[in-house]
Amino acid sequence: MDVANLASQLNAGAILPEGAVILTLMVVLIGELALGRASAARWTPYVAIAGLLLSVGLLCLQWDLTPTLSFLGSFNADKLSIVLRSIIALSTLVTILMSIRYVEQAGSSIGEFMTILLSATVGGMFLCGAEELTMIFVSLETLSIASYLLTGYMKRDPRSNEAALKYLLIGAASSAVFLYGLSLLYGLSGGETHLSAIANALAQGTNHLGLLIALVFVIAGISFKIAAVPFHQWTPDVYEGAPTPVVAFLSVGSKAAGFALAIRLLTQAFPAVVEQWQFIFTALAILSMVLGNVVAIAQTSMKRMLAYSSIGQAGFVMIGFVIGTEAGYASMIFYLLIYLFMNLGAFTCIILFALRTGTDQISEYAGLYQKDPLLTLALSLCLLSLGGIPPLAGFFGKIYLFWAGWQAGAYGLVILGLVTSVISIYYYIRVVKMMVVKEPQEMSDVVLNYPAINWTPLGMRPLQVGLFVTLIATSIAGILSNPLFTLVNNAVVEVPHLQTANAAKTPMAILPTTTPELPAPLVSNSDSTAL
Amino acid sequence: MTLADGVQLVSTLILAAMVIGAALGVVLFDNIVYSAFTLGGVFISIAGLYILMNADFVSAAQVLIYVGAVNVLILFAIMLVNKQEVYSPVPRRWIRKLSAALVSAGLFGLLTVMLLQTEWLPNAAQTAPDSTVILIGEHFFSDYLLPFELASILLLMALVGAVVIARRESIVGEDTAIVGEQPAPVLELPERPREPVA
Amino acid sequence: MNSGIDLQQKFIDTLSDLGLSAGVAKAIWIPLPMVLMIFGATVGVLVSVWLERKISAAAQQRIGPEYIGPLGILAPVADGIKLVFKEDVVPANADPWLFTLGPVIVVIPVFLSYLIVPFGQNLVITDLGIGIFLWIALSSIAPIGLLMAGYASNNKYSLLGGLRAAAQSISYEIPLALAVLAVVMMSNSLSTVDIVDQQSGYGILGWNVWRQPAGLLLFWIAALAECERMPFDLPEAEEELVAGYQTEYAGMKFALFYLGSYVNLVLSALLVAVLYFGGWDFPIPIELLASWIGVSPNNPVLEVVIAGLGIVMTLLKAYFFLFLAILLRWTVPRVRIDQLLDLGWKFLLPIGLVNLLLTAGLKLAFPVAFGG
Repeated sequence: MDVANLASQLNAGAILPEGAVILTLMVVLIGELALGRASAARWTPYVAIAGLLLSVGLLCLQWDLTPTLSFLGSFNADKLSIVLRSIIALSTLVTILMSIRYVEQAGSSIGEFMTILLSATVGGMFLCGAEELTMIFVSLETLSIASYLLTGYMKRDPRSNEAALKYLLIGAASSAVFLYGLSLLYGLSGGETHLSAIANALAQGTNHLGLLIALVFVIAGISFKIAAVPFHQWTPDVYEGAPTPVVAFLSVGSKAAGFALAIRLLTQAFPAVVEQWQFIFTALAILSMVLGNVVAIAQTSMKRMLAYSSIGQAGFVMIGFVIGTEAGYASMIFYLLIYLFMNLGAFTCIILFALRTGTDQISEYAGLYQKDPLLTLALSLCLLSLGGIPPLAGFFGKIYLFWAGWQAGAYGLVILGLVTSVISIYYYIRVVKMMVVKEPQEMSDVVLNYPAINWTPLGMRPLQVGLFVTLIATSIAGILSNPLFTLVNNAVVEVPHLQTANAAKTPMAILPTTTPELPAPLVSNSDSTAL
Repeated sequence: MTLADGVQLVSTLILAAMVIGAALGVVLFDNIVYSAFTLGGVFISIAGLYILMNADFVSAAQVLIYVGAVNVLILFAIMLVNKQEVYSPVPRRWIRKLSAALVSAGLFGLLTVMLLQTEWLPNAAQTAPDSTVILIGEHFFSDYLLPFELASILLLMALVGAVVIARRESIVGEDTAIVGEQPAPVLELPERPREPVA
Repeated sequence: MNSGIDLQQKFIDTLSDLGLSAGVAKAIWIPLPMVLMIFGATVGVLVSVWLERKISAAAQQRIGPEYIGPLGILAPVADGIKLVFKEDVVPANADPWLFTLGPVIVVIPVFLSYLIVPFGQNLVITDLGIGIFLWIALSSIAPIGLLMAGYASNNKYSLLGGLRAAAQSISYEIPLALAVLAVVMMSNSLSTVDIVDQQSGYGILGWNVWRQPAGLLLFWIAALAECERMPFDLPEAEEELVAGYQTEYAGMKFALFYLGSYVNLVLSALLVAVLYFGGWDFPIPIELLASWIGVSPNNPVLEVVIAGLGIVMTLLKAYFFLFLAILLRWTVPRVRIDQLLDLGWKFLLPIGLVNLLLTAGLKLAFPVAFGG
């Protein structure tokens, strides 16, 4: 195969968005080296943001292209992957907005932080479209190793060291188990690495036990990434010890990549054991919802509380995954999209509070309303949205999820989801109450000594922008959810293996919210890029 | 059985025994240095198994990377961190050991059953290639091009990250760290640590 | 291309004529070259120890060993016998297993690497597809043995020496591999036989040294460092570390280290000859000479002569580099450990990368001269 012939077959245009991120990464790395660390904080984040915007823009342009496999079947740029890749790119974008001041104040180098964060993004984006076992593993490792490094970025802080070490050790173990599962798949299929070829090969054989073991190992690896109970033990310590912007990225970008991996790998390579993996994920969902939301009540640190709440949220998302209907997948991706804004909004707020007061204890938020109404408003809205209070975005996300679950007959799961949602509202409201309802004399010390609000220091403006963007998105994305939902529906409808996965089940009605006359993808995508 | 087959069978058995023995050594030795050295034995034996599978390049790469780099680094870390600390023995440690042994044995049994039950699809059509190097190169630049290139990003990032973690930190904006002075509270989380629960 | 003499085929044919089956004949053949090579390498060490003494003496205007045999050539043998009969001491509180295993692990890979050293088209133990890569891989095992020896000696100088040796070895492996890679890129093969073949045909003009001058320097510096020769003999720097990881060793175990280091040096010199100086090639193409004299290239006598000449040429080239190494020992001061690591990582590594890139570019631009 000569070079020209090969180049024409590669269809390399499909990875242009990732190419943009890689180019940005190089510019940041080499630019920081050439121009010096001192000036890096002033320009590298903006270059990174520009690169990510470019990447999201390229993704929007790819929306209308007919999806083809690129790189001889290694990468699939279908609409599903485009939506998920956008989610990851956007989460990095907002993370960068909130990280500039944080990293600057900690005195560490921002250029390298950007480099590692961008490579994590590249890994996550490639993971969303990976169609082949090697590709899946390499991109998963890119994401994971970058996450370990980011977790340990505050290297003089023992908490950060501890978090990085725990994350690394547990992550390496789970990667090994995952890889063992992949190797079993490779062997059972007689030496295939492409997911569709594996599915074909496994459909003929009767190797049920081997397939089940491979399934269990693969699910263990995925569950670590999405922090599903009982693979969640790393989450609280890592969330507490890692730099807060990194936590924000882990809870959204990394988790979205994990779900992307789950959708693609499980639905495509394991059609023979659909019942089994849906059963396992049902158990994981139940455990995650119960444990995440119940334990979150007892937390005193905001970061730890959000860690457990993110476990619970992952449980909700899994409802959409296990029912295996189109509406389920669509609502799951929709929820991820909503979750992106509300969770990152909450993290922006607690970063702002930590930067001004140097603490993240929930009790220290007492009476914040009198000193900083904007922060109070933003944090309250984001938390209430996470809890699912109408008319905020989270409410609609949950409604779609539960509705899809109810339609598919997963009554028990939906009822459990409703109950645990109520529990989650309790601990979210507790924080809101702490901030708003306290009398002036009940104010905490740090709030009493709250510094004058000053947006001028380096990196505060981007933080403010991030705050407003996520706040607005959280407030109105629910009301204007039609275009978003059309978007995710289109993404799911056009992916063939999501149809074959539920061919046995009754075909589900698509939600009655589709508005065909609306040029949905363009509107909603430009909507999200503008944010 | 021809001479070559016999040699192959005996080598497989010897190498398998070496892998298992060395791996048990890694787990069971109390002295961590012994564990690290036996880990090198595991890597070498696996390289031998690769040779038996006609994967000569992979085998040499295994020796170069795992023995020459990974294992040496592990030994370095162990020998440079020369902290002699006497750990008080955990009460009822045998319960942990027993449960670990049970879990491992159970997993081993399960996998063995699975291996025996499975009808592995033999790939009889494939013969040993003349040169594995050329074959690997062809794959790298055709169907595995994307993972191969992505691995370069992974390595670059790991390199940058390793330097970030390992370097002696100078405060941003200054060229040199002032030796002997109290370092500024940099590279720490802005959140205060929690007060320990009484 | 005349493939030259094929000893294996002739040997098997001879045995088959005696009535043995071909399989048995081959089984009898298999160990012979290996034994021969181990023997050859050991003799090579004796020669190089003698050279080391004589050349060192000459560099210091002394005579050197004189009375043990003519010109003192039995001095290394006497050394060896002394070491064999010395008491084998394992220090108190040392770890006896690791202490014994250390030197063994250092020596075995070095001898194994002789598998790929060619002395003629068919005068090589195995013409492996991965050839030179095997050497690079095997040479990375030695640091494990050094660390083991340093750790097991229960001596701080030994431990420091072992750590230094390992650090030095892994640092210089990378420039070494990069230099080799540039040569491999030109010959499109990792096999040492192919690498020499690609240089042959134009006599001395075809040798890689003209195309890879930077690579040669890089390779030579890195190889000296890998062999822990002056100016890079930090692991056993006697002013600082007594004798590094060898401090506690005596008798046969010390002899193994000693043997290993010289075998490794000879090996490196041989590989310089193979990679950059045309291996067994005569400076004037041998076919040209034969046609001048008027002998057919298939003449059996000529084949034997060519084979002998190949071995002699390889050894001559190798011992020239051995001579250079010994001269360097007495002319260059030792570097400090930080200078050593700086040189490796900040100078040789970038040079190696640039050399590789340039070679790739030249290969694309002038495929005729740089092996298209």
